[in-house]
Amino acid sequence: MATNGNLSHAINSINRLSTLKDDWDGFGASHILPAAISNIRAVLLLSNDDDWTHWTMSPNTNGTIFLQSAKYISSLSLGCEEFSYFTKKDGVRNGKSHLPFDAKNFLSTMRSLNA
Amino acid sequence: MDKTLTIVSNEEKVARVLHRDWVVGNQLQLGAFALRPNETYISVNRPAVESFESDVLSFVESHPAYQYSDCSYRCAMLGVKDIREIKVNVNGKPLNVDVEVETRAFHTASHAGIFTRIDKTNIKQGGIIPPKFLPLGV
Repeated sequence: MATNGNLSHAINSINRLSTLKDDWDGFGASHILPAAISNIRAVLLLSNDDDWTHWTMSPNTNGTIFLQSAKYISSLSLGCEEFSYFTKKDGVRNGKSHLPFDAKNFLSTMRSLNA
Repeated sequence: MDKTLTIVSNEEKVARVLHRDWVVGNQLQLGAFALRPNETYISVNRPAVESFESDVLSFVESHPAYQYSDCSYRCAMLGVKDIREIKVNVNGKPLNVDVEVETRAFHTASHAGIFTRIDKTNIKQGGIIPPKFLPLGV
């Protein structure tokens, strides 16, 4: 299957996260939780290359996944059943936490944060 | 070794040594400043202390995940004054937190910690903020 650069990079990031073992940081961090990996893969399946243009992915020590925008001050945190987001645009902060995870809503939030 | 805990001067900077997964595509990641399980503060080092370089090098030598391809290390530099001015909002309303930078020289001479406290209690990862400390209407 041919993929574009951003999608390919996202896939590589997810694969990298899924290989992290307990204590990956040397200070007791959890491995990335399989449900969080499954969730981000579900988002990936719905997305297109442009959706990943400005996003980077990194592990949180509690086993969840951070997504961070290079375009704006925006981030998402994705866990097993919930996600949260934060953004600061034009000096205005906005964010919500404990949102129930749904791949479509998560992708929609990613798009709106980078719009 | 000095075991006295003192606050770090506003004029200083502190350095967060970066795990390789905290730098993606040369971009600093938020995870670099997340508390780990059971941590009560974010560990940093003080370049103003003479042993800074040797303390950090000793750390990265014993923690390979903090070494980069050329065996160097990377760190994020933060102004102490800027850290103290961090504000926390919950649903757009200010939360009364105290962000403090204190020495932790009993680990290594240059070690310090960034603490976030509510009512003099350290915030921990996954901690629930008691409702009485939340802004009205949240």
